[in-house]
Amino acid sequence: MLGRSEQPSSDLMITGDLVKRAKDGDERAMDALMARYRPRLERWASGRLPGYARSLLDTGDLVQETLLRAIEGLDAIEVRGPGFFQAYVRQAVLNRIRDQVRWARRRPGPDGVPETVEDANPSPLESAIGADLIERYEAALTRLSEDERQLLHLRIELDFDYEEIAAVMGRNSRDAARMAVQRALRKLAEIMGHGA
Amino acid sequence: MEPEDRLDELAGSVVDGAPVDWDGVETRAELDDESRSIRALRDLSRIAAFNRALQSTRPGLPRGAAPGTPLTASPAIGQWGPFTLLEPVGAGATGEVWRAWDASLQRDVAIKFLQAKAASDGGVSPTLLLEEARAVARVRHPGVVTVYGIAEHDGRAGMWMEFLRGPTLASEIDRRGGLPARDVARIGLQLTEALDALERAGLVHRDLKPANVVLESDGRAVLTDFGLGWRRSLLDENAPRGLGTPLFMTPGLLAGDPPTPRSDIYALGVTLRWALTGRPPFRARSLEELKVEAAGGPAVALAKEAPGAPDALVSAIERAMDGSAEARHFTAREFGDLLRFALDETETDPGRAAPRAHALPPSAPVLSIAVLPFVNHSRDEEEEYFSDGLADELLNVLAKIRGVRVASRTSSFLFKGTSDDVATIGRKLNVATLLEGGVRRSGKRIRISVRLVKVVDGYQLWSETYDRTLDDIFALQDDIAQSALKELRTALLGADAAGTADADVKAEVAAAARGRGESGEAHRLFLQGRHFVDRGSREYTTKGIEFLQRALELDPTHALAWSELSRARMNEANAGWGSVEDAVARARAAAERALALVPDLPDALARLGSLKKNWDWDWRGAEACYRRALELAPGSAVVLDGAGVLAETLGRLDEAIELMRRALEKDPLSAGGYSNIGVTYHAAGRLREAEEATRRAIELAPQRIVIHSSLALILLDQGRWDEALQEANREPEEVFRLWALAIVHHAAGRRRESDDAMQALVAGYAEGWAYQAAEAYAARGQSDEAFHWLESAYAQRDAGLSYLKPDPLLRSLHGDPRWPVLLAKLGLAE
Repeated sequence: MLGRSEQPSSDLMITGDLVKRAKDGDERAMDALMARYRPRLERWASGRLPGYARSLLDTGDLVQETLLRAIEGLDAIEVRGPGFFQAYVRQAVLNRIRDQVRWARRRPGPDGVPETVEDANPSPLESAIGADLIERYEAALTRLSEDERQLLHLRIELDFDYEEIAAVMGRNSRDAARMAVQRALRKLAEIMGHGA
Repeated sequence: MEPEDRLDELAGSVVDGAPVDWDGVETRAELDDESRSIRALRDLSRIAAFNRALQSTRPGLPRGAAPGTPLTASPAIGQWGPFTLLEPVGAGATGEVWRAWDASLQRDVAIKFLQAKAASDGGVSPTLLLEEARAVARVRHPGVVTVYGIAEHDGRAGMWMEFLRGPTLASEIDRRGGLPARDVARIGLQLTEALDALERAGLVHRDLKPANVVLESDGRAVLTDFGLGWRRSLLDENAPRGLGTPLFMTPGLLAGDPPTPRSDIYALGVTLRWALTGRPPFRARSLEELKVEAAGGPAVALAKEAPGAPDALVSAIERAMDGSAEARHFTAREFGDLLRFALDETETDPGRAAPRAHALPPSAPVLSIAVLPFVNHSRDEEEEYFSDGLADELLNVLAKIRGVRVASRTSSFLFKGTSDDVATIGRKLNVATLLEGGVRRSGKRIRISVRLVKVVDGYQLWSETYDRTLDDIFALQDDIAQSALKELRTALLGADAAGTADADVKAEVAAAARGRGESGEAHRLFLQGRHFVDRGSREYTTKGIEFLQRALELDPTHALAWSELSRARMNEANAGWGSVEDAVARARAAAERALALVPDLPDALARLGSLKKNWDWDWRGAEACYRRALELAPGSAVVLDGAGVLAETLGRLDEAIELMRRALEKDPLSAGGYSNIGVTYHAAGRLREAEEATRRAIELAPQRIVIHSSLALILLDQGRWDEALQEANREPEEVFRLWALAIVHHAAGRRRESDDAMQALVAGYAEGWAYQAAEAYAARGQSDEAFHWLESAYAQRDAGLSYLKPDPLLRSLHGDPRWPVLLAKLGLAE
């Protein structure tokens, strides 16, 4: 049972191959990708949108649109290793969320929109965890390798099983995946603990 | 176990989502490095738990905010009695805390689930816990989190309390390092009052520390009770010992003595000392070391560690922390008296005065008033639009009266629902009088009571109760405005002052109240529409537009409703909802319609001015509108700020600063106002004032975008590179963080870092941020790239271009032949 790859059936996984097939117009691959990955991404994103922005654009629409764009735009980006796709989409979703707060940006401000709107309604994540910590977390993430970032994204952000992570990230076993996630997390904690 | 293995094991528990006794682990940590990593792992476990909670949401729940639910509603995670659980917000040794939605009262609450351990585990029984919670619930004090109720549902006992929004003192210390003495004294004073209230209720807090103090945006410091207060009688017999956080425990507690009100005072002393210096007072790495150090007191005298702090503050903290129980024998009240003394010291010492004192000129003895949102006494909570709207209308009318300074709506309405007293509110809003009131509406019948209070002594100048019907709404509003104006003048200028004759007052109010049409019902719809538009989101804007249109169907002569419709359409355009061109055209048509009805309606003039400025780049046309609006409504913060930004666009910086300063007088709590004037001071090369104003904006709204990055550039221009880098990294909005980093690194000669940031900026934000890219390139001395991006900004009609002329970042371009061409193209040449 141990030391051997026990992969779930392939259409449950977001492998590089699946992404590629989706891009090439394979509808089943596209559906599988959307079905498997999108709901988790949506739930994750819902914690990141500030209250006032959440009603501007349904989180679901935001994520779906970003995913579709990412798949369409795959030609333009270089797919580097397993799990790259998720990391790319994560960043794209974060960027889209930031776009949502753009209207509150620098002068000339939108007339009459309350000044405090972006302060009074932090995202659920911010109000639960604190914007400071989120900032430190995101900053520390950038100092990890791409591989480590993806492992943590899949496990502590999207709550994937170790089996699934092993499959997506090309690890030999559940335990190997777990060990890799644990090491990445420890490294992240050390970076955060040292005022990175 | 070796520290290395311990960290691995903890990381494993976090990724597995297994429970960890963090307090225990933290107490056992031996090395500094280790405890820092443990703290980070603990933080990461919270992030992971939050994400897991999101993922465990039941599928198929409606997303987004349905009408009637709050905008902040998250997907529900579960139900506990009548409450919908939204998200976990904290977990402690004694139970977990959730944010939840109370559907019956339509508000967020925090629910703390009580974890009862079996008595055989050294715990206390559920009955005792409930009894305990009831005791906490009896404490009513603004400095103590308010407990609303306690119950058991589905076998889980929990108590629900007010949901506090704001950072904890711990995260503020983390973010800012030491806090200004004035803030420490102010926070401390509130907490001594809270402790006094606890003591009188027979409670000790026993886990007072920075993480248990929440700072709300209005300056209120609240003692939260996530560690649970303990009744003394309960403690004496069978409370578990050793709970609490060692660093904040008296030597006696560390030795196993029971907690007392004195030990809470000691903990407050440690807390305030930490806040003032930004550092924990002890360096002990183990419990044993701490016992020794705490008994002897901190190694470095506080006066040395915080050299600028007022003596009263230093001695108050030192007294509270004195290791010998005898010397600590002073009460929360005495502690508070010393802090009050310290607060006065910081106020009278100009060197330590709040930034506002510099940013604002001392105002002449003018008639100043703030209209607070009226309290809605109607049975229906939906009636709030009506009570808010009436107060808002009064505010608008008074703002148009010459010689009366009215605190702006943005600032005044921040006090909605707060328990601050008249003096506090008056001081914060910088006004001499407050008008407050309450409204009850039932069908067509309305009862309104109002009173005018003098801030300095709380003396009630005038009060009145009106019973009318909706048909008389205009007469009623005018009555209140006239009485308030008359009383204001009499009280502040003397009974014989000009402008107190009934006929004069009546005429003035009538002139100021123009534009509201003839139908009471249409006016009610207008108030409701504006209430929705104010909320800012897309859904509410659409709803607001519907109401305004209904008002206009009933009464097409309601010029204010047309003006308001114009604002709503502008918001649509600014936010990019739907077709921008369409929205701009509708906004223009509505503003013009309003002006056709009442040619000099200041609100509509300001709308049209802003339209011409933002969308037409018709500076002259915009200026004409603002100039007229300023003549008609010299007291409107919106008009002043808009006119100020326009003057800045045209390069008239002194005038811009003057206008913005006047806007801030009316709107002293506007983070946006301070941020704007900071940018203008920076452009004018007045760096010290720029820094002061920008820091004030940060104080008011630490998470607002573009403030930290602006401050970074101001510091950079003063040669304070390290601080500039720090501030750039604090910018919450990525595009502005990259923008500032590209500029700061370049100035400090770190080419590679600057290039990296620049590349990320251009790669991620080419669309919509062309102006920022141009600024960064210009600051890096790359004029070709800068002009290229300025051209794209022009093609995209980037609103940033309105800052082109005074922009200090673009100075390197001024000698280039392409510069005058661009200015001319924008109509900004001399």
